[in-house]
Amino acid sequence: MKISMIMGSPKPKGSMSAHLIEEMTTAIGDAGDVQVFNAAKPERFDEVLSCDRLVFVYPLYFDSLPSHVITYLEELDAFIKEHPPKKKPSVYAVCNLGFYEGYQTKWSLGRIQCWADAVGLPWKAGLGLGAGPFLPHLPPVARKRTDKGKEQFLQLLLSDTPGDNIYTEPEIPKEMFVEMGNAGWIPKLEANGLTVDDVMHPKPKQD
Amino acid sequence: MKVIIHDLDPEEFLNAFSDLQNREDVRIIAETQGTMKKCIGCFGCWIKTPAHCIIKDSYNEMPTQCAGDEMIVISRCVYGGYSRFVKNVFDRSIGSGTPFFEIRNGELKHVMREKKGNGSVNFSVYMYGDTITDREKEMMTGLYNANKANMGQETIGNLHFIRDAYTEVPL
Repeated sequence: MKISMIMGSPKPKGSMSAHLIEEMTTAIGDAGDVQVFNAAKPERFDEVLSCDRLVFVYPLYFDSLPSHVITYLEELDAFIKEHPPKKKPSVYAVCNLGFYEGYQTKWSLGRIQCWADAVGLPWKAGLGLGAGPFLPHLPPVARKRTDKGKEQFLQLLLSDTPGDNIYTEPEIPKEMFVEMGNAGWIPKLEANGLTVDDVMHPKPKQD
Repeated sequence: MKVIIHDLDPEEFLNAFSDLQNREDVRIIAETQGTMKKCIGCFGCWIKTPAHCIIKDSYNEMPTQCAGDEMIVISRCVYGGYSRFVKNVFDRSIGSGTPFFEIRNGELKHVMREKKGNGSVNFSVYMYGDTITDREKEMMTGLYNANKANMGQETIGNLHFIRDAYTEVPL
């Protein structure tokens, strides 16, 4: 079984989307042949489409898809309409976000579903991972629900089964997550010689 | 300040709505300065130059340019959401908020900066297209409500699905 994964993060390296693709590829193992494509490079569409499953993996930007993923979807849409693929791969999507609640990815996963409708490919399921970029830094006990969600998603993917979208959050109190997240910005600001006050009261543009 | 963000042809738009030209109380954001580079998720607009995007193109002041007490968005409906340009304006404007989290109405949101006046923003969105499906309307409605919630509790306004931006947007 061939699986095309479209990496939707604009970051050239170190993105959570790339991490998730690596994780899924390892978990799939011999059950599938995974090929990774980058949404920042809308090309090689014939290769992208010569698969059994098409999986979009991206971060949530401003409640939705990063803009370059929209460009990619439109160009792939045009290609499909011009060169209808011989087989119709099933469409899946995985979205991670910095906020705690996985369900905040719902409207972006829905856009991939709308795209699948528009190009006539079968939509199967989505996975929304709350606290995405924090997950690799959490102890396994705090990732139980997330790991279970990923496992359920992979089952749907490998068995070509449609399902409701899966939304997950880590097993830590939301208030604690807020504190951890906010504390994490301080060293990053300090490394640039900035304080919280500089962020709350930014200076006007310097010409 | 009334901020209008649109993805229509910039020249045709100004010809159609000539009253909006050269107004001090109106700012129009359109793709007039070449192609807008995509947000690269670097968080520079939060942790390096707060409220200013570090990408070197003509659109790096979106965090401050998008600020106004009235925001009107005109976008082609693309798979139940904003078009590439309009979405990119939003992506490039995340520096208008802060990286910090807070819980509002039970959900995580970014902490907003203090706004001038009463803090209320009138956020009106016009999504145009001839073949907008029911699922697209459902997804766009969810997205619009999420945007509103992220922009602050005082945000008001409505979402409209239309066919023709030139005849149906009341500008």
